[in-house]
Amino acid sequence: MVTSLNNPSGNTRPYYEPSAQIKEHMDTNHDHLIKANTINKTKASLHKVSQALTVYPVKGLKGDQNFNFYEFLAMGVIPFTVGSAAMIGVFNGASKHFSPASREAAGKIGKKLGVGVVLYCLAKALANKVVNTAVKAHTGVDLDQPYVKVINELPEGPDKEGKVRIEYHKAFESADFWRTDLFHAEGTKHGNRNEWYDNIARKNGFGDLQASDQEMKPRIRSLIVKTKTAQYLLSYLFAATAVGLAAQSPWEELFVNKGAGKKPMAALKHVGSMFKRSFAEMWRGGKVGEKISKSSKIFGRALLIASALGAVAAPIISVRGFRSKAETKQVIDNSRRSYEA
Amino acid sequence: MTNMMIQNSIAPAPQKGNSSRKSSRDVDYSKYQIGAKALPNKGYMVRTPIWKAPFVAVKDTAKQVKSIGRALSSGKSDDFNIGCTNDVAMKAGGLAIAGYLATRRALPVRKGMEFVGAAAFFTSMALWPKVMALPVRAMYGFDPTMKYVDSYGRKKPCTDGQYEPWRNLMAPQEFDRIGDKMGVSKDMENRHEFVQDRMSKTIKQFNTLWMLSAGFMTPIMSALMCSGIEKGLNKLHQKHSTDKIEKKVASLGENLENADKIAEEGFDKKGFAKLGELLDAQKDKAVDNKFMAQLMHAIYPADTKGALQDLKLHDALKADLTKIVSDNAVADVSEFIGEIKVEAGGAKVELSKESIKKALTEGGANLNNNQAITPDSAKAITRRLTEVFKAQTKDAVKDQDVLVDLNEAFDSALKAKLDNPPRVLSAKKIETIKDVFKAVDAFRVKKGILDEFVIGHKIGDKEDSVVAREWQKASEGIMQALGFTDKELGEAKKAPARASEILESKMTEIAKDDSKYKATMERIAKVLGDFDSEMDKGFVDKATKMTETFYGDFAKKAKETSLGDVATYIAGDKQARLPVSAKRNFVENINNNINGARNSLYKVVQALDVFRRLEAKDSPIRAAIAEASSDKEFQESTIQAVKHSLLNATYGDHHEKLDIPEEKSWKQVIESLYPEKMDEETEKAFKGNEELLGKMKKQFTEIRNQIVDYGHRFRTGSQLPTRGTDEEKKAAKGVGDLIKQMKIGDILSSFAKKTSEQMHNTKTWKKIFGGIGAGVAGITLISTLFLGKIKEPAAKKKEVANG
Repeated sequence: MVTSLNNPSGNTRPYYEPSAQIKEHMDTNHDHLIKANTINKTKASLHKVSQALTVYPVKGLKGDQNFNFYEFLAMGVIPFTVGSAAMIGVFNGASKHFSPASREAAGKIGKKLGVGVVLYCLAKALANKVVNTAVKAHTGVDLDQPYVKVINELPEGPDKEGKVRIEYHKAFESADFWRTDLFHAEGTKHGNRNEWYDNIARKNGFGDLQASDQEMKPRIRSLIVKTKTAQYLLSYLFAATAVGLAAQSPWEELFVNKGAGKKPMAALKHVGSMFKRSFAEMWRGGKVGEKISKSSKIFGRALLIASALGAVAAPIISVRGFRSKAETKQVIDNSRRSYEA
Repeated sequence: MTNMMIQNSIAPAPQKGNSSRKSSRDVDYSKYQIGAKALPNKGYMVRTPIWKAPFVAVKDTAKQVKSIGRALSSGKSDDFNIGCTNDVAMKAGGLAIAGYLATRRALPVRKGMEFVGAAAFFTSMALWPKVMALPVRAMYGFDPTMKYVDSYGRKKPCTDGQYEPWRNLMAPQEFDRIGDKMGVSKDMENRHEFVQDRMSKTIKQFNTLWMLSAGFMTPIMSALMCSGIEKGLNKLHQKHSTDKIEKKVASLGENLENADKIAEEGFDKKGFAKLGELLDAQKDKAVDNKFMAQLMHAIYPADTKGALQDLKLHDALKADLTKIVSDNAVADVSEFIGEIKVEAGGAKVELSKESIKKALTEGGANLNNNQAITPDSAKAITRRLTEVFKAQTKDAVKDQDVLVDLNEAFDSALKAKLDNPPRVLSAKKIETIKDVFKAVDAFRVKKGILDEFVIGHKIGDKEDSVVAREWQKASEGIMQALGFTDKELGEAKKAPARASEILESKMTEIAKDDSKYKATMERIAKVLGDFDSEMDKGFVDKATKMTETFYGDFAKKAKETSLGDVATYIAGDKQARLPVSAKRNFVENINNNINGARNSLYKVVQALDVFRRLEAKDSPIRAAIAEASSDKEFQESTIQAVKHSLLNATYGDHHEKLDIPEEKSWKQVIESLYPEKMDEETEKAFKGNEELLGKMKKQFTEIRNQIVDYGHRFRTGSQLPTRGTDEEKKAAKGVGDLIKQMKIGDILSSFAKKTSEQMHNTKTWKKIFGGIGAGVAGITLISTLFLGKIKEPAAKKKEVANG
């Protein structure tokens, strides 16, 4: 039933609202957004990791015709975790065969390297979180927005049926082909296919637009580009600082019972204190009470300061220009015959 | 099938000009055509020969860096370039980590290794798929890690299983060739497509294997790579640093005649100028403690690197400088002190200027005029005035408590005055201080070279010094010569006692077998010879000479510039019979270091030699034991004790470990432990290196003399007098030297334990990770041989052939 055209400034009655049946169909047989809450995000990443550890390798080893790029990329989690564990292993694994004295010496080094590997991963995740949170708060665009992709696989033979399975993706994982359609589809369910774009436009001070999607899409594209680039740079900066922190002497105390007992709170406090002292040592350029290395002091401070500045700068760079009211450039350039993707 | 269905639903492309087929609805399509057509495909496959790879990598990285800037500023980029940002950032992050960790390392090789580590990691990451690809390339003639460049010039790997542009980009002949290698039937219909399907399958399987194995292989490969590179880097660094320091030492001249010139060249002009400013600003003004601290810092900065980091020298210099600066004569001391008034408990005592003057000049005392107030003269003045004060109060005040309080008050009042004598910086003093600076600076430069040569390069307690390096080489060489297996190394490293047991059984075994003994001793002789020649090379003489000259020169200069304390500290004081000095300590340190290492190695020869002689039935050592007692049990236990002391005691310690009550037999046994003549085979092994044998024997003789003469008395616990007859004094000195000898060198069992530990740990590490690495690599590489197998569709082939 068509009642009126999309007119955000006036009557917002839907021009088309799908029936309940169709809505259900849209939510099961087609790619669709899911709520960007912690439960769904966790569910999505657990699904991806568990599949990557079980189903995808089998498919890949078979050379399955349906083995796709997503599955290949998802398997990246294997070398990442195995590699991190192997690194910790290389540093610590042999020491149990050493004599107590060299075990202790090797243990001290190994601990720091092990902590380095763990902090490296945590710092990268933290950097992504920092930027995404800020970007979401500022623009309303949640770059972590997950969606369910429904895959209809090719059948294995002429008289067999193709499998239908799902993958968890992120709507903004590609800058070139971010899933504009899914946001339209989501709006359609509520009778306004531009609903999400309208919200983003309003949040960013554009008011009610005739065609909010047209205005927002190019902005979101460059938001994705900037944010991702900034995230990559920040995450490795954080990672480098984290490894630097892990190289400080307080971590030698890890797993050494310092009267903390088995109480988890005390242990956590101890980790906190190690963190604090590591920061201080890195800032100082050497152990307290020992001679400091000038180069270490300069480099250490540079890393710490750069990380702090980066954490502020990365979100600012990411959202810069998003609210710019400059006249929107025409999307289609008539003088050109082809476009770069 | 699918293709055909799609073809049906697509309208045939309209052809320009005369169409052979007329449309049912006669539409003139040409009027809708605007001349737009797909751009020609500009993509191509990339072939990078391995030698070009590094250059290509640099070029690609430069491109990526450029695109990052564009992405951040304008938001213009695409998925491909965003992905590249990740690669660049990862490498930059790796470099930052290496750079920071390098600053935390002290040794240049260690610093370098941080970067090597990062590079090795990235190299392994890139290299492992290339290694994995080798069997596939050999088998099928194509590289599953191949890359293509798309129409926009973006280089991409063929990792997307659903998007395979290589099917179009590779030349058709390639598929023929690959098909032949795969053994695909030549007459097959759609042969290219079949070959492509097999390639596609191969690539998918290959990529999966890669993902499964990379996690293990990357860290392990990089670790193994690093341990290999570290060795090479160490060698390179050693050569470099050896050349550098030897050149420096050589530039001093054969007789160190150029040392002064070099010191002049290295003169700290900046520091001198700073000192000049400081002194000029204070000229003819009173000097306070703050100025003294500044002065000290200008001459002897607290952060002085290396050469002058010596707290005692610092203190001596400070005391001397204080003397120099304070050396001001007071024209009239009584005027300077003024009157002193003290009161306590209601009693008041006053010492007027006049009475002070009188006290200081009375009885021919010359304490008033032109008196420099130094700590010594201050004492004399205090003593004199206290006498006067006490005499005065004694009559006036009767209460003892008040008297005590008054005395105390007087003391502190006087002290307050005398502790701050007028210190005015005269022009003469400034000149002296400048001379002090020059003397200290010349010593700084010279000592810098000496330290670099001796401590930094040769005998320093750090892992890249010559002694540490050669020691490791020699100690490992000895363990190998003794034939320690991996298992025995693993056992010996557990504890010295365990090492001792293994050593004993090994040495007994070697001593029994003539040819084995000969071979072992020859190897040990070679190890020792190498160590000795590498360690010495005239080093001790040169270093001693440098020390004597440099310290001597400095002491002389110090005396000339009124640095009495410094001179005494540096060179001792002959008149005061104070032989202990920094100079002597330094020379002794050199000798102790080298002898310590050397003695530990001699001990192996000695032990093996004694074991050998114990094996011979008629050896003098057995005879000596037999003479001590005919009791077989005693004899056996003594032999055991001899063996035990060789393996578990320092040289000087033998006398305690050998429990033979009778002095004569005891001496005989000890004498045979350090014999004039060693076993025939032992001496033969040192043929061609008699000098080394001579050194070793000389060392044995010294020890023997000390132990044999005085050791037994010491052993029995009799008190050795420090005063008494000459004979007794000599004995006391002998024991003193003995104790010193005890400190030199390591005991054999702990030597074996430490060396085993080092050797075994390295081996364990390599075994575990080399094992895992080899296992994973083996499985992966073998697996690649089974990739891309698809059964040829036989039925279809027939059908096509028939059709």
